[in-house]
Amino acid sequence: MAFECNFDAFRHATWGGEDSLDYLVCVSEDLSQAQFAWSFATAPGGEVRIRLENAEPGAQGVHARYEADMVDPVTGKTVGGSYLIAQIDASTLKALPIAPGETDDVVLYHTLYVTQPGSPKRAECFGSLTIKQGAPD
Amino acid sequence: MPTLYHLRDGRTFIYGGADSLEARRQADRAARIAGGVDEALASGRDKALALLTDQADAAIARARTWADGEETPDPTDPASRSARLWARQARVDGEEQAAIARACVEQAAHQASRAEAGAAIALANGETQTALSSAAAEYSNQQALRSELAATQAILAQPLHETVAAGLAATAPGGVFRVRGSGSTYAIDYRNEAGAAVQLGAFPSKAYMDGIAPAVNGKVIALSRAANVDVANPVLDNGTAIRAALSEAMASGKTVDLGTDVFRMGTQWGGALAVTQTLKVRGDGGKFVATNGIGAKNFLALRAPISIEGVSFDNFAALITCDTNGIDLSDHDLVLRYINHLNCGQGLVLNTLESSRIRDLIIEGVTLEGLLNANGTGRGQGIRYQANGFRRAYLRNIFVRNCSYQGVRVGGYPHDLVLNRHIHMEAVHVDGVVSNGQSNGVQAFGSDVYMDDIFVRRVDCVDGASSNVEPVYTVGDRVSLGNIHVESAGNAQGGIAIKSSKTVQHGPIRYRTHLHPRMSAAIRIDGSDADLTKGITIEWIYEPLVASTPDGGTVDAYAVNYMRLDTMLTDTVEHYFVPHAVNTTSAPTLKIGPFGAKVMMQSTGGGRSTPASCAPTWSTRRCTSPRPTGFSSAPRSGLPTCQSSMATTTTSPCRTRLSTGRRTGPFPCERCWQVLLLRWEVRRSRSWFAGRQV
Repeated sequence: MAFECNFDAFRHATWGGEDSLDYLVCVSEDLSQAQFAWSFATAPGGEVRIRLENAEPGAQGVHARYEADMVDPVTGKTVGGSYLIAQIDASTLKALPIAPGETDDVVLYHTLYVTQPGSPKRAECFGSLTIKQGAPD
Repeated sequence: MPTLYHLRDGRTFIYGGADSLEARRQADRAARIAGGVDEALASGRDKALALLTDQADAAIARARTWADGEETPDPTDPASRSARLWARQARVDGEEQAAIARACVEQAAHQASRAEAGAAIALANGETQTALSSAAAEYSNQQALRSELAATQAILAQPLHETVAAGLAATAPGGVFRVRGSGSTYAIDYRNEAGAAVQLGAFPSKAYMDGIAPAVNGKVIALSRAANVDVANPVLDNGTAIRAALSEAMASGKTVDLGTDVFRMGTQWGGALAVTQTLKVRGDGGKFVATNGIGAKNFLALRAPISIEGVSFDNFAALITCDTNGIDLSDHDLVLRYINHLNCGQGLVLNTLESSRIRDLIIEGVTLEGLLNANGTGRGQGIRYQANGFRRAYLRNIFVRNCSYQGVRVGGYPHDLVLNRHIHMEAVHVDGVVSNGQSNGVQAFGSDVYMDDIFVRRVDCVDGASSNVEPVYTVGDRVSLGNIHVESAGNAQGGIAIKSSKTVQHGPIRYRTHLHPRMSAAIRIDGSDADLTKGITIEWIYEPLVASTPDGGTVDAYAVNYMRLDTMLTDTVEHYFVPHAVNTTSAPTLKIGPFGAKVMMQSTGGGRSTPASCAPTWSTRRCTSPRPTGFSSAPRSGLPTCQSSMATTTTSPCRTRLSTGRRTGPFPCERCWQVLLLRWEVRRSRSWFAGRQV
C-alpha cells in the first residue's frame, strides 16, 4: 500500500542524489531490478512536469541499490533492503515555469510507480515536492 | 531524513527519520527510561499501600470503638456513647416504659370491670321497672274495659222510657237515656245535656226490618219486594214507591233488580228522576211501563253514572235525558245494554247539552220502536247523544224504527269534535226517520269514526222542505266506513255525507232510492283525502216523477237504472254527485246544479224538460245558450257560446244532428252535448232492461 511522503527542494540546487538525505529505504525487498517511473505533476491528475525513470547514479532519474546486511528496525534481524535514490538536476528545476511572483514556491505532486520483474506496476509512494525559490546562486 | 518502509503481510510499515542502528539506539534508551519510571512507580505504590493500610486500621479501630466499646468513644466528649452503650441505655429505658404501660392497662381493666358490674345492675333495675309499667298498664286497661262494660250494661239494662220527658227526669245531666219509638223505629237514644234531650241515634223496629229485609239485605234491591211496590195489581200506580226504591239504591250503592216483573208508573212518577249517584238497574225481562200516555214521561235525568241492562220499557218519552249542562262524568261510563223500548216517545237517550262529559258511552242490543203520527212523522227521536266530551262511544246491534229528526246520533256539532274521541258503530239499522224538518238516519261526530253494517231506509222530511235530510252523516278527523246501505231515503245535503280529513272505505256502499225532489248528491264528501275504492253502487229510480210530470205528454211509467257507479275513481265532483236538482214548486223542472248538471230542454219553445222527456221517442231539442228560457239558474260561466245556427232557429243543426246521430256541421255546445249523452244513456238503459244491447 502506497504511503505519503513529502519532500522539499530548492530551485537552484539539485534535489536528491547519493549525498542527499532524501532517499527511501525499502526493508527486506530487492528493487535493484525493478523499473521506476516517478512523475511530478502540477496537480493530482494534472500536467506532468518532471518524470524520473531508471538512471545511473549521479544522473537525473531513479536507481535502486540492494544491501543484503540491512537489519530490520523492529526485529533487529538481518533482512536486507533496497535504497531508492532519486535525483533531479538543478537545471530541470530552474526550467520549471514560475508562478506569478518570484518568491512563490512551486508545488508539484508526485507518485512513484514500481514494477518488479514478473509483477504488476504498483504505486510505492505519493506526496508533494515543494520547490522553494531560495536565494539565487 | 531518509524514510524506511517495510512492506509486509500486505501492510506498509514506515519508520521515518532513522536507520536501524539509530532506531535501535533510541529504542534501547527509551526502554531504559521506562524501566526507571517503573521502579519509581513501584516504590511509590508500596509506600502508598503501607500508608493506606495504617490509616484503614486506625479507622477500623475507631469504628469498633464507636460501635461496641465499653468506654466513652470520644475522650474529648464524656457524654459520647458507643452503640453498645446506647443499646444498653435503651433497654433500660424500654423496661421502665413497659412497666408503666402495663400498670395503665391493669388500671383500665379494673375500671372496665367496675363499669360492667354497674351496667348489670342498671339493666336489672330497668327490666324490673318495665315489667312493673306493663303490669300497671295492663291493669289500667282491664279497669277501663270493666268500666266500659259496666257502662254498656248500664245502658242496656236501663228501662225504655215512654217519653223524652220521663227520660230526662230519670237521668242526670250528661247521662244517656232511651225512649221507646213507634212504627219502624224501635227506640231512640238521647243524652241529657243540661236538661235538654239531644238525640244520638235510633234503632229500627222488627216490623221495619222484616218489611225491607228482602230488598235491602245484600247488594241488590229486588224491586218487586221494595216498600209499597205491588206488581200484582196491574192498575196500581207504583211511581212513588219505585222512585223511593231507586233513590234507596242510589244512596246505598245497590243494584235494582226487576227480575221478570212489570212495574207500572203513572202520574206518581212525575218528571225524570235525577240520578245523583250511580244507578244500576238490571232485569231479566222485567219492564217499566208508563201508564199515562205515550211519550209523556221521561225516565231518568243524567247527573251520575247510569247502567241499565236487560230491561224493557213501554210508552216513555226519553229513557235518559240530560237536564244539567256541564256535568263531568269523565271517569264514569253510561252503559245501556239489551234494552227494548216500544211505543217510545223520545227513544233511549236525549241529550242536546253539548258540554256533558262522560268516559264511555256503551249502547248495545237496543231496539227502539215508535209510533207514527197521522201525517207520517215519527213521535220522537231514537238515540240522540248530542254531547261532546266522551272518550269512546260504542254502539252495536241497534234497531230504531219510526222516529223523527234523529235515528241514531252520537256527538255534538263539529266545532267541538276535538272533545270527542272514538266512535264505533256496528250493526246499526234505522228504518224510518220522518219529521217535518231535519231528518237524519245515522250520524256520528267524533275524532275517529268507524261505521260498519249501517242500514238506513225511509229517512225523509215529510213535506220535502228541509235542507237537512241526511240518511248517513259522519264527521271526523278520520272516518272509516263500509257496508253502508241506504234505501228509499231522501236527501238534501247528501245521501251519505262525509266530512273528514281522511276517509277510508272498508266495505261496499249502496245507495238505492227514488229520485227525490230535493236530491243533490248520493255521496257528499267534504275533505281532503277520500279513499273510496271498495265499491259504490248508486241506483236511482225516478218513476214517481214521470207519473207526475205534465210536460211529459204521456204517462210513461218506467224505471231505469239511471246511473250505476262502481268505479275506482275518487273524483267526487265528476262521478259521485248526482247531476240533478229538482224544483217541485210547480211542474218538475230540472235546474242546473252546481256539479255536473245535465241540462234537459225541449226543442220546441225552449220549455223545460223532464226525465220523461228523455224517453227514446222524445228526440227534439234545441239550445238557446247561454241562458235558455225558463231555466231558473244561470248556466255555468266560462262555457263557450253555442253555434249561432243552433241557438236561433227551431230547426237547428243541433236538432238535426241529434236526430240523425251524425256528427256533421258545427260542434254543439256543452249543454247540447250533455243532452245527447243523457238521451243515449236512457236509450241504453231501456234497451238493457229489454234484454238487448244498443
